[in-house]
Amino acid sequence: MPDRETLRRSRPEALRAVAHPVMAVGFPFLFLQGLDGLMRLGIVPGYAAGPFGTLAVVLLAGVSRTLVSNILGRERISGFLPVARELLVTLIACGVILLLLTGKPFRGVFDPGDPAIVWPLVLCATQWLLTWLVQSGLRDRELFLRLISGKTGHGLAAALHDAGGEAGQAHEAFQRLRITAITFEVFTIVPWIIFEAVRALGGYPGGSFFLTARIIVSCASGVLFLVVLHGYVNEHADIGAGVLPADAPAGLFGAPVFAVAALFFAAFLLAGGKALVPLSALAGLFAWLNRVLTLPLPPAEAQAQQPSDSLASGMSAAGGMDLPSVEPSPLLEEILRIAGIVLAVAAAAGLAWFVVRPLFRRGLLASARRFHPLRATARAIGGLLRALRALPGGIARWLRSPGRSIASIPRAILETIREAGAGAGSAARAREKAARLFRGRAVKEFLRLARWGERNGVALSRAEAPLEYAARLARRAPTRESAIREVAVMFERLVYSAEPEPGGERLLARMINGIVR
Amino acid sequence: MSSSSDMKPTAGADAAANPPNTVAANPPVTVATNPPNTVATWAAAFTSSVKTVFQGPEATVQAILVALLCRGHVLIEDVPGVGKTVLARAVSACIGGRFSQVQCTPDLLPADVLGVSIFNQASGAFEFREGPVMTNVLLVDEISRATPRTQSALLEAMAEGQVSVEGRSLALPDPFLLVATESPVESEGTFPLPEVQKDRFFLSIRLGYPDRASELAIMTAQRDARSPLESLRPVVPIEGLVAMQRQVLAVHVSPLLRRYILALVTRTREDPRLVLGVSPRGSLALYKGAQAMAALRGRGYAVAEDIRDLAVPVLRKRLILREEASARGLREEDILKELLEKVPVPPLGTGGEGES
Repeated sequence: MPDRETLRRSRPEALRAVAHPVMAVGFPFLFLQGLDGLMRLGIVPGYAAGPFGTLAVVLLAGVSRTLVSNILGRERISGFLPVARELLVTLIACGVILLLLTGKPFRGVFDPGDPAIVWPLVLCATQWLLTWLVQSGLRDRELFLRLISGKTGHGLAAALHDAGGEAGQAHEAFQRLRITAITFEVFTIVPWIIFEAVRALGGYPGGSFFLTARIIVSCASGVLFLVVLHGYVNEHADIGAGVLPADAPAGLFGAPVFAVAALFFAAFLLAGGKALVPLSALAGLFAWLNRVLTLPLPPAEAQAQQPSDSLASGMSAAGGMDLPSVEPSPLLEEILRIAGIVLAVAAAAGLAWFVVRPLFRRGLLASARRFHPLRATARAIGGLLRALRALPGGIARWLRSPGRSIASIPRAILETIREAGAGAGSAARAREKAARLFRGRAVKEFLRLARWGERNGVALSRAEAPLEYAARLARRAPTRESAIREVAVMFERLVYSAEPEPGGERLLARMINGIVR
Repeated sequence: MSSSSDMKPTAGADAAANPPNTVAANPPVTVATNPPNTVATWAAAFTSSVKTVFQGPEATVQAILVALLCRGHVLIEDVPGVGKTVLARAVSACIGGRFSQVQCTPDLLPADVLGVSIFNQASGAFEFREGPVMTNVLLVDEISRATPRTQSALLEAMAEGQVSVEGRSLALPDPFLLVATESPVESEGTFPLPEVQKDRFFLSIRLGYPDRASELAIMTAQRDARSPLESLRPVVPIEGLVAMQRQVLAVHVSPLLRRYILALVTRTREDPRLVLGVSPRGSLALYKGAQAMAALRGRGYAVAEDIRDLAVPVLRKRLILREEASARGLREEDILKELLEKVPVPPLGTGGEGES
């Protein structure tokens, strides 16, 4: 029987609020800071280090991803557009901060294309992407633990049976994260080792102790991440007592990262100390494309239709064709100018509306009232401080435990953190919060089913009980009758019972997804 | 007047001194009990047992069960010959309790129902003879034919769980279920129960005529010389029923549903077609009924359907229609069904919270 401590209700909340965001932000950030150190050596000439505070901005990009991800999850907002909107806003904000950090706007210089801004923005985007990757992989574990926490005996057995899908998905996510982490490690350690060897042999400008420390920190964070993942896998195996499926085949999630890291490796090997693709070469490439793609027109058509200006002259000269000069038409120029302005304004307005649209959705004030950023931030910081304070105790607990192994270190640390967190009444606060928000989430999910039913001709009446509506809906969709009825029964259990099971609204959402999609 | 009982009352006995529960001669059938599902398991066994002799709708049996679990009483308003007596006898047999029947006539006296002291010449003392009310299931046939005085005696038994005879208060057996019948026809020379007195009944039901298949089954069952009631065995002992009545009280009713009940009864009090709406006794009956219905369905919590399924039988007889509404052919259940279609069901219909 699994350890009772493993299944406390406060644990999933502590993971979601503190542990997993720290992992999702910390591991990619430590990897990127190591990568930044390597690239400053001139592996990619033209790489600009960025102003002072760049790494803080990169870290901020990751932290904002975790915060917004929790908000979007709580509000049940999913899909590509909200995430794309968030990425755009994050990059804009990071760009503005980096620009201000350079100090140039205060000197009257505004150059957003400065490599000292562009390269850090690339780092911010990479941090954001990697944080999203890690946090997505850990979400299934949070859901699995939430479904089984607080249960013992037969209730636990039933919950384990019901949560088999979530356990399998969590297991697959761990596999993907393992491969990603191993890839990061390989393509941090190996280039550094090769660079140090080549530097020693070829007399290239070398790194420093500071660089070595950054590389070591990056590698150590990767090892720690792998240890934690290994602990999670063992813990799942213990909890499920064999319920977990066989090892899933390796996914393709780390392939883009693998490809990018391999490119760095190949670039370093081929460059031999010189830049493989300098920025000036890119500029020449674009100029060449401009020449090649500009087709010369027949002389008669060019004389009748094309306005003559310096660009046309230059293009014709580049193409080797002599074109007669034609007087520009003021009306046509005016039309083109106005059309260009209108298109530019429309594009800017569309982009601005895309960014600010969430501010106008209904229920925003209610959502904002529910979201207290300072309280959540203070709680997160408090949790982090408690975790750090509990760290020595966790190590001591591990040293005292019989049959200890490297893989049991994270469990010992997590148990100590959990005990410290429970003393602060976090479990009671979590229950109050769940009771306050739980019903709203379940209702939101059921109304999603009702909207699907309405589209299929069965509208929900305000004076209709959930099972009654489900019976009507099932008559319209007989192939989904049992699923619809199960959703109604689950919904009633969530909103009417004395102690609804935590995580039940997520299960309800999944059940409804199976009907409406 | 006629009365019958399965067992003769003990001569000179004071019911307060005698054990209140007397198990019938047939031993109870052991029902496998699993604490969370005891009531549901028993209800299923009870229903299937009653259905072997009573061919009416299952909802009727369920309503009787709800009244039994809530310590309430039932008023059956229906034409003669649809199985009211069979139903009451079957209920009594299945709970292993005593059964008594009182056929009301205008000359029925309270003493005929409650009991009377008779002088025993041999012993030279008055001996109290219990009336048919000292039983577990009492069928009062045609209650509207009894005088108001006799009706009051019965109503006191329903409300207080005891009767007053010759200055003494005698406790009734536990459990005690009174099933009264009222015929909608032949109202001449009767004393219809005042509406305010009907409020004391937990719920009212109508059996209606059985469907063709059921009526054929009834006729087929008559081939056997033995009455089908004789084959019934108790499904649970009396003590088990009392324990389940306590268990029902622990069923959770969400604050949303309490507000829903209140919204329903408040609407009846505000309806212009009604002289009198549902009293707090009625809202309490609906609340307890929802608890019992949830337990019957194997849940530890009530849901909206439990309330909606019981709203008409529980509240029907607690409303008084205005004359003009009654003249238009409107009935109490029509108004209740209309309210059930209008009052929003929380939380879907009320945006998360119930109406206050």
